[in-house]
Amino acid sequence: MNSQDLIIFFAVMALATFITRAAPFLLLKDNEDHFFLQDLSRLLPPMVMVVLVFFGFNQLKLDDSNFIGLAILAIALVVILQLVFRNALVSILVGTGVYVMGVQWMGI
Amino acid sequence: MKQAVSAAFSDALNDSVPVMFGYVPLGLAFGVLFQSLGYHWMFAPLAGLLVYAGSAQFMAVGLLASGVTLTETFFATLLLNSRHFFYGLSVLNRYPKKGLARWYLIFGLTDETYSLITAKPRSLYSSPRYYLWLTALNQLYWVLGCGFGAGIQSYFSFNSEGFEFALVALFVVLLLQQISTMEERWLLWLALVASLISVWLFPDQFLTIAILICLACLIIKARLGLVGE
Repeated sequence: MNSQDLIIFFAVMALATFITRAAPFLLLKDNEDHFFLQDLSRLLPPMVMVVLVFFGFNQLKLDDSNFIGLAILAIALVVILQLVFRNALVSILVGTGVYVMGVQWMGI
Repeated sequence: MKQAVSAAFSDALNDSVPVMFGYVPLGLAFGVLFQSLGYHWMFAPLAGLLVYAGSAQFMAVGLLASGVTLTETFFATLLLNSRHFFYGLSVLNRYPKKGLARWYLIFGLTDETYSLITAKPRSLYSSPRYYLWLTALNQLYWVLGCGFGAGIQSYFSFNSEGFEFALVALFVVLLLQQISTMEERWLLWLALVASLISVWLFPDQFLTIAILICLACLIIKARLGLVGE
C-alpha cells in the first residue's frame, strides 16, 4: 500500500468512525427521552467494556503460558491500583510497565 | 469575555489531566506499533487527527498488516465503534444545536471525552466553550502521543513488545469506573459469557457478535419488562 492508499484507508476509517458518533444526533433527535434508549445508554457501555477487556486480552501474545500468567497478574494489579487510588494514570502506567518488563525480560 | 474563556480553558485543562495520562502512553503505543508497518512516522499523528479512535487505530495496524479491502475496513470500523452510538444519546441536549462546534464535538466523542462530559453536573457546565476545550485538549494529547511514539520509534527503534497492554489497562479502568454506579451486575457476567461464546464460534467477527449478543439480551430484557422497575 502506497502513501496515497494509506490516506484513503484512514479517510474511510474516519468516515465510519464519524458515522457511529453522529448517527444518534441525526436519527434520534426527537426520541432522546425514550426510556429504552435511556436504559440502553446506561447498561450497554459497561457490558461493552467487558467485551473490550476480553478483546484486548485476546490480542495479547499469549502463546506461552508464562505470558497468560503475566497478563492476569498485570490486570489484577491494574484492578487493585484503580480500586485503591482511583487514579487512571497510576493504574495504566504501572500495569503496562509491569507487563512490558515481564514480556521483554521473559522474552530474552 | 476573556475571563470566561480562560475559566472554561482552565477547568477543561484540570479535568482532562487523567485523560492526558491515559492518551499519551496509549498514543505512544499506537505510534510504536504503527511504525512496525514501515510507513513514514507522520502518518501516525495523521491517523490520530483524522480517525481519532483508539481501538480502531490499533485495529488498523492489524488490518494494514493483513491487507484487507476498503469495504471490509469500513464495516469493521463501523462495528468496532458502534458503541459510540450509545454515547451520543446521553449528550444530545448538552451540545450546541448547530454550527461547526457541534460537529467537532460529535467528531471528538471518544470513550474518555464522553465519560468526562457526562461526569460534569449539567447545571454547572452548559458552556459549549468548556466542551470544546475538553474535546480539543483530549485530541491534542492523543495526536501528540501518536506522533511521539512513531517519531521516536523511527529514529531510535526501541523494543515495543508488550505496549499493547496499555489498551487492556485502559478498558479495565473504564470498566471499573462504569460498574461503580451499576446495579445490574449480572449483566457483566452475561457480557463475559457473550464474549466467550463469540470468541469460540466466531473468532474473526468476535467483537461485533459479542456486542450484538449484549444488545439482543438488553432488548429481550426490556421486552420482558425487566427494565425500569
